[in-house]
Amino acid sequence: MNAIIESLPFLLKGFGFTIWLSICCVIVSVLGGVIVGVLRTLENTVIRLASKIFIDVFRGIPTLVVLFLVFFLLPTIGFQIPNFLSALIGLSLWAIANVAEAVRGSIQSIPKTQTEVSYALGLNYVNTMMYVIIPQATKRVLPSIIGILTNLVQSTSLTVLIGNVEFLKSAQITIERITMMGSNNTAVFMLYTLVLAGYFIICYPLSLWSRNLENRLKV
Amino acid sequence: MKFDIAFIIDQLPYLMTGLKMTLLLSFASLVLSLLIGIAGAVIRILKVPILSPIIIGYVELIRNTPLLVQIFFLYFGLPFIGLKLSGTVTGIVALSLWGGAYAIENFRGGFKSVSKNLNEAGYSLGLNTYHVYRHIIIPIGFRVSFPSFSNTAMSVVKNSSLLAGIGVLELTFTALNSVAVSFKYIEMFLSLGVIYLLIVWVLSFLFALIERKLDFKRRSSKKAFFSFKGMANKTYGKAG
Repeated sequence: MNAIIESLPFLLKGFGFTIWLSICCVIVSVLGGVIVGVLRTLENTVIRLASKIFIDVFRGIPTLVVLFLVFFLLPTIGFQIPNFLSALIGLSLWAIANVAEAVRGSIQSIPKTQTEVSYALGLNYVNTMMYVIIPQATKRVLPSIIGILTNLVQSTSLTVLIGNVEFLKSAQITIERITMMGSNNTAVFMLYTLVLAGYFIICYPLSLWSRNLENRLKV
Repeated sequence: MKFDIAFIIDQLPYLMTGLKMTLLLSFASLVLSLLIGIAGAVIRILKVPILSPIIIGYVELIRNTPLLVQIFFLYFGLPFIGLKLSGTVTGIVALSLWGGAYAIENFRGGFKSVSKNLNEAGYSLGLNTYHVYRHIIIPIGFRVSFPSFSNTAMSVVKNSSLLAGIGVLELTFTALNSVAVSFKYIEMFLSLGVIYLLIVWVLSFLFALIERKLDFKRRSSKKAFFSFKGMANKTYGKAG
């Protein structure tokens, strides 16, 4: 028990890294997801197909494999990037694809008559999107985007396998240290419980928020 | 850098042994999570005392913590309170618990959507709760919730890749093994991605078939059964 309390600052540092990585990924993936999602609904066949392939590929491959691909592929083609960046790119690729799919669904769920009416009123494409479609679509897409973000926070734990020292890794290092010192073994059990609790504290409010928004939408 | 196709062909038989393990693990976990899902959903709808709050807690715990941490917890944490599981068993348990938690939510939505009239009709015919659920709610609700369950199922298959973290010899781990010997990262990970994409595509095709078969409005007309409109829009699971 003492050993755990001693290494709390180290664990907190890992926890901070997890939150920092999550925030970066959230910003990148929401921005990228909205752009790709809007591209997916364009009339232009090439752009639409390209974004569809992007979405389908990165939703179909497991997140872990995407991470490995980015981690090993980029250095071989000449981009030496730190672990943090490859984690950010890998997770964002996966999240952008998922957010884009949600955005596409919400944009297409707005009745077509709305677009036609705003064209008839003389608005161009950009204005139609800005003032008619996106305000309505945002309300519908928000619950599912927050759901995806909850998953994104959880997925940051995968970056431990490409060598990031985040919350899970810091706990594992602590465990190694404690078992090496030969103190009591229940520490392993307690530390993993602590990690579970740590992620729960971040994710539970998010999923409550998402459910709340969803319920409000139904009424 | 040279792309070595001969190496991929050479390693394919080895990857296939991993693929077999992945499919086996996924299938076992899917069957178990289906059972957990149906049982949990019925318990939650019937509001069984004691059990219902446990199910709620279980679902929230699983859905709000990373699967990788759950796997590590089961594999490394449990032995210290006297429960030692092998890698494969840990994998099946972790994936079934994870899939089960999502399946409970899927089926709960489906079972709830069954019209109350049918429920009341069943009771007025003299069926007891067991028979109402066995013959009315579950068969109808299952059809409604199958699309969302198939999303969960796809996620379970993809998430089986995380078991590489505890050394289960499945698809990802065999690829990592092969990389460790040959250092041919690109060839291995690209073929890994392609194999997973193929699995997911085949699965989404299969699930679409089952969906069509379960859809009793379409079942009467054979023509509709063979048209795969909307198939391309089939989603590939939620996350993970």
